[in-house]
This record gives sequence, structure tokens and C-alpha cells, in this order.
Amino acid sequence: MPLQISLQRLSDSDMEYVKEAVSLILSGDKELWQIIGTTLTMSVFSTSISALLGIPLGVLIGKNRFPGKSLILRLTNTLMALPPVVAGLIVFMLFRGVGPFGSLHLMFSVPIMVIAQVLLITPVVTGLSAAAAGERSALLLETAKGLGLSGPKQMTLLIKECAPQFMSIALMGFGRSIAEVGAVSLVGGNIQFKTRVMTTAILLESNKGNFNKAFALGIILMLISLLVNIPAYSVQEKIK
Amino acid sequence: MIRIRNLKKKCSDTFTLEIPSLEIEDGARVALIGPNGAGKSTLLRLLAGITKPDEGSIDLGAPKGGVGYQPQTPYVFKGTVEQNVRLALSPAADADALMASCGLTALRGKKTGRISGGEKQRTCLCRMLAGRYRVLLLDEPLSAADIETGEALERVLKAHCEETGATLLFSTHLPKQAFGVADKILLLHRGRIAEYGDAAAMTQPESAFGRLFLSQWRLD
Repeated sequence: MPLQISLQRLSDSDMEYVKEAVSLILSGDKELWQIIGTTLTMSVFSTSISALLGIPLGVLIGKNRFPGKSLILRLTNTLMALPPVVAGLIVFMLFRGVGPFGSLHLMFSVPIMVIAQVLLITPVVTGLSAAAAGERSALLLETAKGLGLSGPKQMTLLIKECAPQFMSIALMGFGRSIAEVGAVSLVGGNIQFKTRVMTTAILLESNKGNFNKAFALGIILMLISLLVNIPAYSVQEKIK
Repeated sequence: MIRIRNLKKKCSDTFTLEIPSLEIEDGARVALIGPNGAGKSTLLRLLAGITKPDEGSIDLGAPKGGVGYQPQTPYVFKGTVEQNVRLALSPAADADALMASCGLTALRGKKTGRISGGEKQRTCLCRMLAGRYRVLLLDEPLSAADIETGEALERVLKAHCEETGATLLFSTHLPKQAFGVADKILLLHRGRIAEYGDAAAMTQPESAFGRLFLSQWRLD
């Protein structure tokens, strides 16, 4: 049966990729560990900075009523759809040698990749945090005010109540960061032992026709994401 | 004493709350009654400072932090029932005794996400009483309680006000609750006071609307 044969082939090749991924991890390949390290450094920093900027900003937008709020929300929602390549291009133009921030000499480094990702992820974190806080804030704050609780206590309660959502948002930001390729390849340059991350490495191996290695790297990338999400999910369940 | 002068609040094109003058003595227990959209919640929100009046003034005669307000659907915070009750606990209040009087002793360690709507309302009422506020503003505080629990909580609320001398303003749609807890009745109609006076005297309302509303109310 042709269908069975093709399934068998797919299954065999799947096993090959898994074997390749396992042997890559076990080989202690210096480059692989450098790529994993750079990927995690970049993703953790860009997610943390985006969360630190976007969550408080989102809470402020979500909980308050002010003129121009709907315009800000529309702008944020538009920026949520910012293509990674465009974000990379903006950062490239700003930080290239002749750009306004060229004197900082950040091009083709991990910090510039973090900056590009912050530009990409912060609007997503802000928009989703505004929605999460806005949904609860009216009733929550009216109740808290009614109890005579102070402003900082009201904010603490709001953040505490929305904590599981904020955590999901941060995890989503991490997911976007770790899986992003367009912006980081543009500003990072995919330099071996310097700015190469999992996604740019996958792209490179695919372009070279090394599909087995590319798939193996893809499996490792998924494993990293899983390893981050498992403990995060447990924490999220605890604080619910 | 609560003093309201020339209060005006426009809520929509068709509804404006207007109270030229109202004085409520300290320690009074006032039931706000009236049909839906009469302005009961608006008045309570204005008194609590949640919304600002367009015109006029409100003097609650209570120090800062001396006013407690509970909206119609109060927010029950994450954590346990006891944590909610202790959220704004006054040093003068006995949380254990209050929880016992509100029938919450067995639920004190239970997560609020796992209790019923009626239990949540009891938790919220207990939380308000734990604050020992000088002025209590409660928007339909017992609407989700069953008859037996509702009666028990009415007694708790009345006893709390008598013990602490707190002034109570609460809205209700239940005649038994209004006359059972309050010593004054304030009947609102289309954003204006139709009747205000002693609960005992409210059997003979002065206005035609008051007579109509209260006669229908008792038939329900």
C-alpha cells in the first residue's frame, strides 16, 4: 500500500532526526552549546525586559480611563502584528555605523538582538496585559477602594489577581523570542560562535541542505521551550 | 451626620440623580429602595466617592478610612475566605467571631474559587464588617443569600450596627430585608427622593408613587 509505505518512510526519517538530535546533544559539540547559550541569553533578557516594560505599562493603560486610550490600544494592537524583519530593519537603521546610535557599536552582537526582540515583544506584552488588567480592574478596584485600601495596595492586589495571566503573557513573549529568526538574523548577522542562535542555525543548515541537522536543531529548540514551560506551568497552577 | 446638598449627577441623557437636600443621622440604618434604575447604586457610589458629582456636596462626617463601600457584585480576591476577611481588618475587630457569626468558620481555609455565590456574598459582608467602618454603604449585600441565611445575616448586620454605632445605607429589593434591618426607608424614583422617613411611618407614604410602590412591594 503506497500510503503505508510513505508513513513508514516518514516514521523512519523522524527517528533519524531524533537520533541526530540526541547524538548532537551527547557529542558535547562546542558550537551547539554556544548556540543554545546565546539563544537562552537572548530570549531570557528580551522576555524579561519586555515583561518589565510591558506589564506595568499594560496595567496602567488597562486600569485607567484617559483621553486617547483607544488610540493607544489600537496602536499597540497594530504593533503586535509588527513583522520581525521590519523590527530588525528599524533597529538596523538606528544602530548601523552611520545611524543615530551607530557610535554605540552594537551591531552584530547579542545586545542588539535583544533590543530588536524587545521592540518586537513589548507591544505584544503591553497589549495583552492591558486586556488582562482591564477585564478585572473596574470591579476589583471599586471593591478595593470601597474597603479603604491604599493605592499601592490596590495595585498589588490587581497584579496578584492577574499574575497567572501575566505569566502566560511572559511565556508567550518567550515563545516568540526563542522562535524568532527575521530580526535576529538581520541585526545579529548569524556569526558563528558569536550571534548564532537556534533559529538562524536551523535556517543556515536548511540552506546548506543539511536537513537532518536542521531538524535535529529544531527538536532541541522544542525541548528547550518545553523545559522552560514545564516548571512555569507548575508555578502558574500554584498561584491560580 | 451625612449631609447632602444640591447633589446632581447625570448618568445618561435620560437619567440624572438629583437630591436637593438630605441629612442622615449618625447610627441610622437606612434602606434604599425603589425600582430598577431609580438611582440607588448611583447614590451609594457617589457617597463612597467612587464617582464624583456634577454639582453639589456630600459630607459623610467620617474620618478618612471610616467609610466602607461594597458594590453590587463585589470582587472576591484569590486566596482563602479568611484572607479575604482579614484584608481590611480593623484592630478593633474580632475576625474569628465575625466569621462565626457569618457562618464562615468551616469555610475559613477554603479557596474562594471553590465556594458558592452565596458563600462569596457572606465572605464579602464579613469582610466589610471586619473593617468596622463608621459609615457602611452596601449595594444589595444579601441578594444571593437563601431565606434562612439572609435572615441570619440581617440579624448580624443589624447587631453590628447597633454594637459599633455605624451608620448603614444599603439597597435592597426585599421588603422584609428593608423593614427587618433598617429604621429609615429612603424611596428613590427616577433619580429623586420620593419618600424618606422612619420605617414604621412608611406604612402611610405621603406621595402617590410611594403608596403605589409600597403596595405593590408588599404584594410581591
